Amino acid sequence: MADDKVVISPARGVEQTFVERVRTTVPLVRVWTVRDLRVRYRQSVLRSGWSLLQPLAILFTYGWVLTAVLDVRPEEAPYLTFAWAGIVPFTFFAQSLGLGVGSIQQAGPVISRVYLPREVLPLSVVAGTFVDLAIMTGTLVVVSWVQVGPPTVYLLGLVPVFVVLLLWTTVLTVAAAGITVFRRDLNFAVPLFLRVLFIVTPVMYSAELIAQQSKWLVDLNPLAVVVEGTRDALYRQQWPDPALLGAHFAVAAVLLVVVFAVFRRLEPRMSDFV
Amino acid sequence: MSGTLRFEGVGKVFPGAGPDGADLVAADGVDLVVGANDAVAVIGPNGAGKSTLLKMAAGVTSPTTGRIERTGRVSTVLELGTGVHPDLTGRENVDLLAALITGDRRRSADGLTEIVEFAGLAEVVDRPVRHYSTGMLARLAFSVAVHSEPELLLVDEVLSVGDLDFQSRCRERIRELRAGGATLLLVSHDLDLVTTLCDRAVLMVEGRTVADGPSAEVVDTYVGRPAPVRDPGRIGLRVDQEVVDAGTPVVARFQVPDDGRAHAVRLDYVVGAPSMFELVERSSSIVCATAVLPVTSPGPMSVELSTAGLPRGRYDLQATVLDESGQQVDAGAVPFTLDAAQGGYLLEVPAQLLVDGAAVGAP
Repeated sequence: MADDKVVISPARGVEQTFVERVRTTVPLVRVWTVRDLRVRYRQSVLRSGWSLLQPLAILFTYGWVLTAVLDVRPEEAPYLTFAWAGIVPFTFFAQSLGLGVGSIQQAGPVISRVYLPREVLPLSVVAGTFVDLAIMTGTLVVVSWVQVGPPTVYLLGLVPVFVVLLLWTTVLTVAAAGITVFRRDLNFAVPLFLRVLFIVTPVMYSAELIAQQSKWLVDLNPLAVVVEGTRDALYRQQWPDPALLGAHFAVAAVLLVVVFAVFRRLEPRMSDFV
Repeated sequence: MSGTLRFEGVGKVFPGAGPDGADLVAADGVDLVVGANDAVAVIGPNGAGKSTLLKMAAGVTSPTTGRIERTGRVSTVLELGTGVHPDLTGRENVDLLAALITGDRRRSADGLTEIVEFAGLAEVVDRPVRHYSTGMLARLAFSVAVHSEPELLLVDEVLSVGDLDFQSRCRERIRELRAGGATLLLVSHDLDLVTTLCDRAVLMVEGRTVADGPSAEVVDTYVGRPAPVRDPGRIGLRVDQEVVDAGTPVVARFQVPDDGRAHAVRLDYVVGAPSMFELVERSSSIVCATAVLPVTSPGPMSVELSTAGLPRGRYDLQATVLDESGQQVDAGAVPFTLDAAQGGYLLEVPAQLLVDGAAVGAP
């Protein structure tokens, strides 16, 4: 039977067309994501409550320090709604990248014994945290409804904002996971990067505070664009800046193609390094 | 449908993975065709490249040179515990393993029942596998692999883990699958299993296939390899002491011929006579240590061979002089006896070669 012939070559490993690749990747991502989610909360008392508790802890500690101690008061919305709108997308990004960076390396015993497209592993991490994002977005809408008012048509603006967020998260998580197979440095660099990013992104404070100094820092930072876009859609009654969002979409999309092409070239050698 | 598998000049090098940072050649120009419904075993000493061959067939790792073609749905019997998460139940792990092994084929509820029943785990299927024994885990993995309607089944030395009853059911199941048209590629040190399950066997030594034929014949070749010659050869191989206390190094001396070619010398310890070894291995002569050392200049040479860890018994020390292309130029073999048991029953014993007191290679 010729049509099920598989060729394994030095340069490309298991040779597959793009369509075959997607067809094998998608079901495996689904299965692996379910596994990750089950494992994550299986032995903990709070189960999925943990995915909310962590960002809530950040919200209350930072919120208390910033509002009660440092007296930061955004004018546009109550602090809870304002900060939660930043924490929700940021947490998704940080969780994906933080858990995803070592995902291929940690699955070493599996990928050195059975073939699966390696990107399944980081993609499953992103998919798993996306479930958390969905839950947290629900809480965000509720909080905003209570504090500011019911959602309007502008809430639809969350869709393009989250698409850009998902693209950037996928690009960086897959790239980080692939690099970590060969060099372990990112295991250490990613937590540092995330802390720095948390500080330079207007999550807990208003974007205007940085924009006054250097607007480019907000415009170039995808997370800042996403956080601001989330606030636009949620309670500012305006559409997120289409030019900025479009530019970030385009850059992330190009990077996605590049990252997957490079990933595919490195993949045949990955199992020798984990 | 039956799967097929074809290796064309397949080589695999792990850069810097060998002794002293040298490249490790796990496969060297392997040509192998496994036809539809064939059952082929790959046998050979540890480190010969058997498992690497199987991994390349599965697509887990890519060859460095050559290419591999295969047809049919592949199933791999995973090593113990691979892909299994201890906190998940048997049922949840079966879902996961089935997806990993088969790619995207979905398991039906019927399939799950069959898998669990075959593995004899019906009562514990909803408990976390953390509570399973080693044998139960192995049964689970095997059961998933053989119930995924494989057309090409890749098995790497995993049948020996389950109990006797399960082992016989495994053999039975593999026979059923073959009767249904499946193709089998098996890596095993269990030569009995090899001859009962496979019609054909391939002997691999140092990344090359050195014999390929009916399994009984190839097993005989392996068991008898290298033929004990007990002849010092033209290279004048001799050992300083014929009876050696365990732990004391054996010093071997020989002459590297001066014929204008570059050489390497291969040294094998062969267990040449019944010893306490016999208790664990049926075969009568087993290569238990191998080392290759490059020789830079012709002339007399002496090598100190550590005997640490070797069990008591009678050995043949065999030296083979090879030219650059790996062709044998000359060979000799001399017996020595290792007295004073040190215990141990390892099949492959780490032995270090020393030239003038400096390490030159490891088995």
